[in-house]
Amino acid sequence: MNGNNYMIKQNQLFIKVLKTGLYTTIQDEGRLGYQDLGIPQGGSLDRDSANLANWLVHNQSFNPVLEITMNGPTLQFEGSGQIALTGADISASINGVLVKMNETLLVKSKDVLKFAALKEGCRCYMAVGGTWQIDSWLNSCSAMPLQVIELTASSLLKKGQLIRIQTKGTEAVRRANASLVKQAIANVEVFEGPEFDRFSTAVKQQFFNQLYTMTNRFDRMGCLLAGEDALTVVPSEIISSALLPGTIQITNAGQPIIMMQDAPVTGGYNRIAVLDRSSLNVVAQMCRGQRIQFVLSKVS
Amino acid sequence: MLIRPYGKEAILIEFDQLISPKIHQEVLKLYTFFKNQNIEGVRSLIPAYCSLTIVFDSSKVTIPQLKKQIESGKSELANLNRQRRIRIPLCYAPDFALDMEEVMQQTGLSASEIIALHTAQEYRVYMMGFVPGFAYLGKLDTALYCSRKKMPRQRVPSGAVAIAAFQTAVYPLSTPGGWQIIGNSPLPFLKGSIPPFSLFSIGDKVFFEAIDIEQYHQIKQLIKEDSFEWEQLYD
Repeated sequence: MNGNNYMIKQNQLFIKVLKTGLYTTIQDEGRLGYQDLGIPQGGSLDRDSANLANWLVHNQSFNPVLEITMNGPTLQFEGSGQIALTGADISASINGVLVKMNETLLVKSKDVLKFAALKEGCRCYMAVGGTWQIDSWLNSCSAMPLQVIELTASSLLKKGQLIRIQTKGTEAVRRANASLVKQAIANVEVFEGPEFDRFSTAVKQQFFNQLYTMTNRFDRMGCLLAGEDALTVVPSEIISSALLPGTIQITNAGQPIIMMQDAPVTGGYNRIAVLDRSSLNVVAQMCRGQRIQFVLSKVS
Repeated sequence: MLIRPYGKEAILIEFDQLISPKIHQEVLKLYTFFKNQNIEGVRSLIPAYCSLTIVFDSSKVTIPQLKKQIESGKSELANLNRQRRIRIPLCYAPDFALDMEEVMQQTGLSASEIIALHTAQEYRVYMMGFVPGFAYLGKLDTALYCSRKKMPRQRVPSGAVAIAAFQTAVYPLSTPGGWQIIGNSPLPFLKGSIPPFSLFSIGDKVFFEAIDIEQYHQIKQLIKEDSFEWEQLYD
């Protein structure tokens, strides 16, 4: 079987990027352990959905996935294989027929996967059964944040790009009952941050009592939130210290920022709270305008 | 020293909250101890000016166990690897010193005085951060203190050497940035896939050596040909 410019061997699946979508990257579990070199952790933002996608195609969780943000790419397959879509529902279809989320799907040569309206969530994950032939840097193929993309050039999808996957034959179809958090207001569990006690009781009460809304600044580095009222903080900074995915910093304007996987490893704003890992998955699926209620937990 | 949980799977160790070589040496010692110990369940270390954060897997190690390790790390003396001293060639030619005018205005010094002060002292890598390979070097001579630019640049050229407040740094990659640029180094500060990936690591001693534009291009060429002798940078 002869493709355009490439030979398709047995057990190979090529994905050709016809359209990139808004922001589609290849992600895996990231680069935990290299933060002392100033390297962000990276990796899939909604790890539960990414893991589920890999499970549906019989891959282990360290395998790469496509992280598709709000507006999906158009992909054409050459060869055959199994894929799965989890997380945000972006009305995916193959050759014009809507496909199911959270289920193993079969793809074959000339199939075209398209996305349309975003129905719920923010980020969709696509796993492909087999081994991705993709460059990695520091044991991860996760796309580095915008400014350093040259280190992981093939992990930010580009039009015309070909992704090659060594498939492993057809495995049993798997299905899962997965649903994203659907409440109008997401309860987000947090722990006290390092500077929690630097905030006055009144400010802390305000932080936990009022609702927060996702602003239009939500990306892989961080999510800026707007409250009904800004927190009345005295502008102050700390000597730069560690940020983790899930750290909530309060800017000097009194607005919270939730740091995400691609955040810098250190920062200087007061850290009021830290999200639990499972809450980070919830925030990763939220878009502008969605509301959050912070709930304080204790580290046992 | 203060130890507290930082979420469910990290602890933050805070030393006296000061920027000083003495405090930083404490950070470095504990960081080096944990780096060498390879304790099961310790997943990442984030050393900074006066703190060390340890990210761990709570199914493999507990906070009390980590506290015990911290105690033994503290009591072990002089387990620090010899700190490296790195010489960084730096060209202060006007083509590269994009903000020299502004720095001259803010400090009231001439360009040659600024260069003399900037090359006169040894700096310490206090922290890696901002972007991969970016080293926060301090402390700058107080005569050179100036504020950040009012509007950050969209794209700082890679290799740019800049100052802001008490710090100086090299931009290893072309990124947005708000520091005042006074020169450029021909070295690549982030080495793609070759360990140790970053030219700098925390605790290194660094000093700058002024080179002219001819030497700048010579070094660039040698690096391109892969015949640059890296050892000459280290004392």
